[in-house]
Order: sequence, then C-alpha cells, then structure tokens
Amino acid sequence: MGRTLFVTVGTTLFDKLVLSTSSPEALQWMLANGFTRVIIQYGKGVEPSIPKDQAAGFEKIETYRFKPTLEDDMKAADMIISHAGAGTVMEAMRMEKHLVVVINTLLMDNHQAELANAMGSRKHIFVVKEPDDMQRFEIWDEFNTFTPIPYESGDNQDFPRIVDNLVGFGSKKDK
Amino acid sequence: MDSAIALIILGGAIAAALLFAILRFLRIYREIQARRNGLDDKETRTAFRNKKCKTLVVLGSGGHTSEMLHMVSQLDTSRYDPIVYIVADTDHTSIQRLQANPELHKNDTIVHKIPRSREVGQSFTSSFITTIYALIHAIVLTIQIRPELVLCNGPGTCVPVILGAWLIRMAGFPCQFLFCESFCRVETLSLTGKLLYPIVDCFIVHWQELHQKYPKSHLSSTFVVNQNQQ
Repeated sequence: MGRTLFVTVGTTLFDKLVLSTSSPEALQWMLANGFTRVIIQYGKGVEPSIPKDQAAGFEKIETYRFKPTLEDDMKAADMIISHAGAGTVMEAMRMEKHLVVVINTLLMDNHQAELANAMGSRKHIFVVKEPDDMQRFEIWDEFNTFTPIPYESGDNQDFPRIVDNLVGFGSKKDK
Repeated sequence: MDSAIALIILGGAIAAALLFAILRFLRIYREIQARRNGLDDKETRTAFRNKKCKTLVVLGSGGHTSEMLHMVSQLDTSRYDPIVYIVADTDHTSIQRLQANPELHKNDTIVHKIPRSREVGQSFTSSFITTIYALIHAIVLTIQIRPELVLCNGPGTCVPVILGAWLIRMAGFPCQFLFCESFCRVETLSLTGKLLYPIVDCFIVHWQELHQKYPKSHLSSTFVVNQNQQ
C-alpha cells in the first residue's frame, strides 16, 4: 500500500513550499518513493495547479486552502512537510509523526525558526533551513530516510496545576 | 486635523482620570466591606476556592489559537465555568476551530468578537481613531464580562483585555491574569510577552533558555503530550 504525504503551511503564505512540493519533479520523487496519496494545504498562497497527466499513478491528490481542523489529514499522513508553525510541530510531536519543517526565510521576524531549530537539534524533527533547498532532491532522500527520536512527553497535568494554584483551587492541603 | 487629535487625547485623559477616581472609590468601598466581613483583600484572592471560576480566554490567531485551545481543553470544566471567549472579528479560522471542538464549544458557549485595530491600507489618522476605538471596545467588553481569570497567549489582541482586567482588579474584584508564551519561543520573548511580563500574575514559558532569562516565569514541562498518554 502506498504512503501518504501531507504538506501544510497553516494560516501563512508560503508559496515556495507549496510550489516545491507540487512541481512535476516533486511528484515524480513522491511516486518513486511510494507516496501515492498527496494532500497539500496551501493557506494564503496561490492554489497549486497539477495537470491531469502528472496525477497519473497517484491514488489521490488533494489541494485545499483551509479546513477547520487539520487533525484528520495529519493523522492519516506517513510524512508531513510543514512550515515552522508551533501548532503543527506540537501536533505532529503528539502524534509521533515523521515531520519535516521548512523554514520560511522570507518572514521578517522569523522567531518560528527558534522552535524548529530547538527540535531539530534534538533530532525530533528534520529541519530544512532554506526553502530553496527543497529544489535539491538529495535533501528529500535525506529526510525520507531520517528516523526521528520520539519527543519525550510532557506532564499533561502541568498546566491545570499552575492555573489551579493561581486561582486558589487545589491549595486545600497547603492551608 | 491636529486639533481633532488633541481633542481626542484631552478627552481620553479626562475620561481616564475620572475612571481612575471611580475605581479607587470602589476599591476603598470594597475593602471596607471585606474588613467588616473579616477578610482582607489578599485572602479573598488566594483562599481555597470552592466556587466556580469565571474564565475569559483570548484567542489570538493561527498557532496561538491551537495552543490556547489545547491548554483550555486540559482545564477541569467543573471548576472553570463558564468559559467565555474573545476573538478578533476578522479571525474566522479561530472561530471555526473553536466550533469544530465539541468539548470546548457547547451550545451555550459565548464567543465575543472585538474589532481589529487597523486594516491594511488605512491612513494614519483613521487608523489612530480605529485603534483607540478597538482599545476602548475591548476594555469595556472585558469589564462587562468581569472574569475572575484571564488566559491569553498573544498576539496583541490580548493587551487591551489585560488592561480591562487590570481595571477590574483596581475596582477591588479578584481577577488573575495568565499569559502563556508561545511554545515556539525558545530564546526570546514575543513583543506581547515583553509587554505583559511585568504585569501578569503568572507567566508561562516552555524552554529552560527563556526561564533562565526571565526568572519570574513558570517553566512548564511543555504541553506536548504524546497520544498514548492522553
């Protein structure tokens, strides 16, 4: 059975990523590497046009601008190529997904790179530092064979505990 | 045009001074009452709470919204009730995302929309006036809601809400503000974070690097929880 690739740019404008993952060469690479289902969420950018003849061999090619939730598409994906949005990174970590983050170097205040690099240096995700690097298919091979180290889970009671203490719930035993 | 701006500033200053006086009066009045009931102000705020906490959640946009919805979904709804939301009126994605989550969005969930301070291409003078309008709108709305807890995580939309919440507290009503820095801030705070760090009661960061730079912050062990442990 073929694999599923999900490309997502969240609510941002990131045409370089959308174009480099919908180009004829990229589609060829996907077929050659067993990705027969491709979903591209292109956000504020231009809708990618994929000619019919290039779609041959694919089980499914879907492109859309936004959906209220990307959860289903993320769940179904074997590999996710994404912008550096914290939400996507967190969600992918939570689902223990194979995540490739492409840094959008056109962003002025590129604080997103902070998170991606912190995760990348700990080998939880694969970071592509320049959108133009996506033109080189050696890097596609590299992230395809990359084995992520699972992110060690946080404590899901951490936040409620902080808030409970703040407003006075749960301080019974302290009193 | 200059005189119009001067007039707005003067009017604003007078209104602010009046508001300040009223709030001081209210506060003194409430303090006297609290003392009569044998409670000081600090105790009413931090004593063990057994009644529900009215919570106001400010949704930012994009990733801020995802993070916030994830955090809110961890709260015990028998304690934090009702939970009221504020969203910028141009931010349709955040509203859709909230509505797509049946755990958070019930039939009686209230979502307030506030105007954006400026649209692209607006002239300076008109954006000055709309900014003031948006600011006042957010402050008045917050005072009307009168939350006991405000949760926000940026961007800018939450600043006027925090101002409103601060006015509520000036009037002597207990109200706590929590700001949670975005998970994607590893080494530097966001502009909103820098503005709110000295003001809020609880400031959460996710990375050791930031916690060392801002020692008053709480270091959360992160909100990323793996699927199999949820």
